[in-house]
Amino acid sequence: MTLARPAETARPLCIERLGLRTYGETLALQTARRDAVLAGAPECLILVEHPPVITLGRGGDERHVLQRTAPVVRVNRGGDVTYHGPGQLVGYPILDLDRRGRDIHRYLRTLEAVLIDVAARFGIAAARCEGRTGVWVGNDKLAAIGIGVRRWVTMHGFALNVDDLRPAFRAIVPCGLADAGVTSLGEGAGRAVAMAEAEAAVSEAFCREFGYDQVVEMMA
Amino acid sequence: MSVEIVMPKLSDTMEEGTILRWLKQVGDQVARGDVIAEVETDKADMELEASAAGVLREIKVQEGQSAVVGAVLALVDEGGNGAQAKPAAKQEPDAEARSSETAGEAKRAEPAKAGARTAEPAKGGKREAAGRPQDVEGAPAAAAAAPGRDADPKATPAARQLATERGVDLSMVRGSGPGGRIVSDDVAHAPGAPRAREPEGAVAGRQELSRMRQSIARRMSEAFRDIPHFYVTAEIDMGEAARLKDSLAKNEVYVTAVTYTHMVLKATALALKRHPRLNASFRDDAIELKGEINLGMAVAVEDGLIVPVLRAADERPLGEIASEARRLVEQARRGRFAKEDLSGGTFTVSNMGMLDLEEFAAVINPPQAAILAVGAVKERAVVRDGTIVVRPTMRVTVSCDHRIIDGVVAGRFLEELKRLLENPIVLVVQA
Repeated sequence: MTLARPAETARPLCIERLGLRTYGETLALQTARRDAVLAGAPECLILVEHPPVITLGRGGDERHVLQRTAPVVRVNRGGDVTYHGPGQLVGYPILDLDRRGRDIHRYLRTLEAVLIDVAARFGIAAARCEGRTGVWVGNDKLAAIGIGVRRWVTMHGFALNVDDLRPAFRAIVPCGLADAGVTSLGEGAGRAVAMAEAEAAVSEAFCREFGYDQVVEMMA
Repeated sequence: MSVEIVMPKLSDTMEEGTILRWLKQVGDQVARGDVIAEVETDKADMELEASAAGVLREIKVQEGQSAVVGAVLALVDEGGNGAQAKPAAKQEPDAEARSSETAGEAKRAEPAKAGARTAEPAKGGKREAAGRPQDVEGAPAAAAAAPGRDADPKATPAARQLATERGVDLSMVRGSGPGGRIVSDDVAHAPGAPRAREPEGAVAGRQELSRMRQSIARRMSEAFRDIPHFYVTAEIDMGEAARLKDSLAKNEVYVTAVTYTHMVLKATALALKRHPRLNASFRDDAIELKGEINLGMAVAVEDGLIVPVLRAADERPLGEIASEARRLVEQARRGRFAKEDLSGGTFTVSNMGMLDLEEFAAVINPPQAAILAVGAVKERAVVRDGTIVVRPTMRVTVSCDHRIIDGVVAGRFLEELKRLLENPIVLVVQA
């Protein structure tokens, strides 16, 4: 299942690699990019690592924050509570779904396909879990997904665990699911995975699933 | 008239969505395009925009509640004068709204919130907490503030059906059945509220407007409402233009084949140079004459219209107009164009010459002051020197903004256009 745009309207995907940047600063950047895409600018994918932060989706339950080990922010995305911190690769695709058939569920499934593809590149058999958006290895979550949409242009996106983040995740009930754990690319691959390696895999898988053959990379 | 805001279909597989929060409250003024609520489906949070301007009269699905796709979430009174005093014209059966909390809790919270809002203007932070279990306390006391009106009166299914059909607000009906239950008879004898809508043809399906369609709808409404249009039509003999077109093609004068459209564009640009009042804008009670002649070309695309702009059309030779116009039209059809290709137009040409039509009139593309509608070149019987002859002719109609253009000015412009196209060699010779 791909969500490619019609070939004749293809423009390059702009990938912005920010490195380590705070949640707040990145949110402002996302909003600016979203407004630009609404005005006709090329779509983009922001890749970033955040200092520790706990975010709650609009419908999130604060009771799922067990310990306030990091600042808690409520944001305009779907989903419950999640944790971001160093060792996790966060991706914010700013895409126009108006040109992709206006289907939010299909978009979520395509994001899952990207992350399953990434896991496979590290020899990990990850999968979807019916009714639980995200990407799973067994009963453990490898990547969380939550998006926000204005006039069919997306914000927010996915958070892929690269290093072992289990200690940090003890502060919350991930996505409000009490019975699930978390895992990471490093654990699944049985070796340390460098952030740059994960970024490259995500960029490639993203372009494949979303039908981009041209990329313009921007380093912060 | 009130407009229903419904649960949007955000995916082919979406059946229902949850209202995460309302950003507007009952009684608030809303403008079309304002974000009024956030809706969640799966892990996606979609901003819901108002499809109409007016006053938010009623919220039917509360925060935290789910509703099926197409269910009415809220009503907006268009215009909004004294709208709040009017009784609800249409009571939706409650079956559509489902609560993720227990139904009773949510129901009780509803009047409480309405009451609280009149007492203190709700702040964003306050609203965040609304609907949480701890907030439900105090609801019965607040509910007493609205005596005699039960938000969800007991009624038989038949009575509900009848009430919906007749547009009767059940909360205004006194029940005569057991335990005060409203029966069909009560509805039948209730003073019928005016019907929300005139009977109309059955709706076969509702289709959300594309962004392009929304933009066309908004701009064209504004233009037709605000600009006093008038129309002047001329019939142009295209015999010479046909000969020139064939001759240019035969001798391969230009790389791109010149069509009638390209000649019309060139002639329009030259005529506008002589009659600058049609290449202008009415703005702030003044006439702005434009320094450039940039011709918009209306191009039909799937369910819509794109108007790429041919810049400095008066300064380009005919061959260049032909190649540039072709490039712009092709790109527009492919949905691939630079922003500057779509902006800065000073006058628009809308050509339906490819269809077997006589003539038509177009709506002005603001902030421009005029638009030219071009019909097909057809063999017509015309009178020349007292005899009827068959000639290829074309009818063009210019729509003008009467605030800055008078009939005679429009007429002179068309006369010039006619003169140029009937002596088309000028189009090749001039610039």
